[in-house]
Amino acid sequence: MTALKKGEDAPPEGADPGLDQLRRVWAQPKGLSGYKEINNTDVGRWYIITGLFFFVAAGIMALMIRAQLAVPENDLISHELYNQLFTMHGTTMMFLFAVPIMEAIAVYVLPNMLGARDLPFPRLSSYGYWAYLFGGLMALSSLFFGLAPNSGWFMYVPLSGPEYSPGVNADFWLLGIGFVEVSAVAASIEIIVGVLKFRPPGMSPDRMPIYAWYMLVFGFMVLFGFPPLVLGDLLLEMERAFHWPFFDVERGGDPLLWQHLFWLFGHPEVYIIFLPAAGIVSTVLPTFVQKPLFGYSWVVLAAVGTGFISFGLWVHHMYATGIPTLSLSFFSAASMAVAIPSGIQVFCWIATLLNGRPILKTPMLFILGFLFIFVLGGLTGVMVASVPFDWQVHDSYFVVAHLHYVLIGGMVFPLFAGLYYWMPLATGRLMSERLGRWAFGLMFVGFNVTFFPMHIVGLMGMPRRVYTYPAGFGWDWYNLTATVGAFMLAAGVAVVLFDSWWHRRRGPKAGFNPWNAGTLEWLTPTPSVNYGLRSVPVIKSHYPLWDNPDLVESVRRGEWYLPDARSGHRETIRSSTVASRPEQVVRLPHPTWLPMIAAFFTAASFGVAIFKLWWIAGLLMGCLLICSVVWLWGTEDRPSPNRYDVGCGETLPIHLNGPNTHSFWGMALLLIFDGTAYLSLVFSYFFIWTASPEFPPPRFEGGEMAVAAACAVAMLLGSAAARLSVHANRRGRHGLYQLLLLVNAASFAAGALLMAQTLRMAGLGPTENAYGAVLWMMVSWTGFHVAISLIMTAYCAARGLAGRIDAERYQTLLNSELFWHFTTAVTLASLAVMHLFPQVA
Amino acid sequence: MGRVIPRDSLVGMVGGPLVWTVHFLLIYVFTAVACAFRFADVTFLGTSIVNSLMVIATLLAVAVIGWLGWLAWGRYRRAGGPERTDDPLLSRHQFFSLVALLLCVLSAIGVVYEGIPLLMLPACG
Repeated sequence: MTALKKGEDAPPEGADPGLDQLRRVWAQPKGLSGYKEINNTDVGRWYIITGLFFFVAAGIMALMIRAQLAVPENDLISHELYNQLFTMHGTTMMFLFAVPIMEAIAVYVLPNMLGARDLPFPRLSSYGYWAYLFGGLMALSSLFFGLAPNSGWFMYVPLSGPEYSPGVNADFWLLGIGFVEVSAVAASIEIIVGVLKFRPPGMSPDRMPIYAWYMLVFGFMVLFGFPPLVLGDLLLEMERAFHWPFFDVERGGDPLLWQHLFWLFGHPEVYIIFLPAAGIVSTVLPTFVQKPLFGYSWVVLAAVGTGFISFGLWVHHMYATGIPTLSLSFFSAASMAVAIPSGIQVFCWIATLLNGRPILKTPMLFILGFLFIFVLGGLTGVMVASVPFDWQVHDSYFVVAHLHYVLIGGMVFPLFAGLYYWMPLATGRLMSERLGRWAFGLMFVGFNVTFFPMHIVGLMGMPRRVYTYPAGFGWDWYNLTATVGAFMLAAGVAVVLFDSWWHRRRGPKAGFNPWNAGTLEWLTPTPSVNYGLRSVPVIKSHYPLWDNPDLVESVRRGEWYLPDARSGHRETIRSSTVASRPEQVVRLPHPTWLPMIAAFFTAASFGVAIFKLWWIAGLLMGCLLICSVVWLWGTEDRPSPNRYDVGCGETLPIHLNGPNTHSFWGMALLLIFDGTAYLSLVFSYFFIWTASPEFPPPRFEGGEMAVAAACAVAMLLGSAAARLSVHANRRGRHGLYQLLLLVNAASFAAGALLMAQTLRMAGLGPTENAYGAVLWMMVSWTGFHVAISLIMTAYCAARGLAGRIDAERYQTLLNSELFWHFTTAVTLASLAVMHLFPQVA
Repeated sequence: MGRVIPRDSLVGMVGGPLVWTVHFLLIYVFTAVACAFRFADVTFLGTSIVNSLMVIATLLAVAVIGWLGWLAWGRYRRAGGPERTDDPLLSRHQFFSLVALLLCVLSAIGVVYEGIPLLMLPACG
């Protein structure tokens, strides 16, 4: 066998022409241009490092909090700074560390696990990364100017509203975080399409690495979980900046609406963080037992089941808000139900452990630590899921203890296991076992010493979020112990960080597949290479490296799919969703500055919006728009002939049109996100309707109905014109195509104006009452979508004139068409809510 | 019968949880509306109409999930049941139908859990 063994390097330059092509095409540009790179391996690495940076930043805030609380009546930190610190600690940990780093790991390892050369939209993940970096730094920097958000990570109104938080602090949260959400959505679309379409031949969903299942569920949870918060952000910012009264009781609004929108996001969020971590556990554990994961189908059931049920838990954060007991019981029941899939999962892990002889290397230690801590956190979770118990401990340190057991146990420990596990792919070397044991010991003991006493002090009545406390309640020793533990925990993290830097030169060389793992990401030499696998094999099992010993060799010899890059393009295979048959060779973009520039303009426009410089923000958005046009213009390359020999005796098309393409799926997923945000707005309308029945929804009795009908007709006409334009283009009738686009644009513009007109005729302004605000928000929603639609229409017209949309390539048109129909659907739904519902009610 | 849900579809796989979702939203929204507009006190033959309607919805949901689960069970058996196979198509059918079946069981438990408080608590207060 000539396969590379431990300590051997990849073949030298010139030995293998196919390999040389791959190396050349996928090489990172030299020097400063290296930052143009959009490949998942480089972007993933930066992403992970940035995530760890925010982890350390938020950790330092935690240490400051613990230092202040070490002794009673301490005056180390002022209460204002304390408020900013605990707000930013939670915010940074949740939004700038936990979610992004899980995306980062997926961006880094997922393509390699799936035998893909990259994710479907490399520029999008690069944009997501830079947006996250810029937005995160912007939010974090507010601490240094004393402008950081200070009303808690869940930003409850009215405390965060215009009256009690008049400064820009809350705006930093709303805009800074709002924009990190953009990057989360970008990553989730990337991951979903990647898992569903960019798999190697033969890897049908029942043979996917289990991590891919978890990330698929993660992606969908982000798509459905983040929109309510994005909408909530938008509503609160509108209330703060323009006095639209969504949450103002005097004008028919309701502060509870914010809590609903926040926790509609916030509870799924916990599982959005936990599921990828569970995916890491399910990946690492089998390697260190050298046995397959026990009960693959059951673990998939657990991941998917958790994904659904976790959307029925949000009100368990709101037990103390006076909602009727029966409604609370629904959420309590769902909270109990979600423990079932989690339990199944834990038993599958234990069964896997019992199935073999565990190898106690550092990643395995972190997994065992995870199991212990997470089970404890899960048990207190079941306790607080019960309504009467929650009423006793609500807003006390018991909850703080519970959430840290779940989040640190459930997410940080698996993450560190993953870091140790996959580090050889990044550096080609192993981290120190000795330091690893120290790190684990310090973290495990430090963690329990910090957070276990919090259960007790919480039951003794210590409230959370207090910057100091009086002596004599018996809380003193518990707090001092917790502070000592926090510094131990931090020391453990410091050891890991030190070694992850130190081992890059000093650690032993990892060589090929150092842990003898079974999944595809270990088929590359270490450190891993940008193009991933030398050739893409047909996959027949969950652990191809264990089940097929000859695979390594044949992949290395380039005997499978895509063994070279003779076209000079970066390319990867797209397969069908269920059967995983190869369908297309996708040409991927090459390094470019565009994503970074686009992210900069996005960050800058959100940044100036914090200070209400609306014109400049608009201008910067315009620059962003220009960037996107430049970005998209070169897509849909259709070479002639449109076939490519991918090896293994198969040729595949390079360019395709239709609903199976990855770009169409990207658009459809984006619209799921958009549609969910819109449904949250509709929810807000009906919530206000039930929350303040003394405020009836406005009835329009003048001629508004007729105008609304005209609006509906205009929108439907626009959609029909869009449909016909696709046909005209396919028949090669360019003149008619342009004319129909014009009709589409004119009808949409008319529709938006007519919709606004219905409210103006009734004399209903956005600041009058909550309904006015919600209805004007609906008009703005249509207005925004029509504006984007018009840009798309102009863009499709321009592409038509330039010959870039024609009878053979029209995917751009199909994607735009989807958006146009969506705009019509949203407008019709809004019209129904506005004009038909009050007639019925 | 196997034609009711096309074989091996990811959407078909999550039929059970989808019913759970619809049921959950339905009872949550219905309770909220009933309490806001004070028609929760209406009784018929001594039982609350609102609770009874929701209990019926719960039974319906369990029935639909049971039916979906039964279909999945049929597909699972036709694909060879728990017997391991090397045929990629069969093992794929087994996986999809088994996960669909398990999800139905989980969803049914979830829906039944939601139904328990309906028997004990008044809709509002």
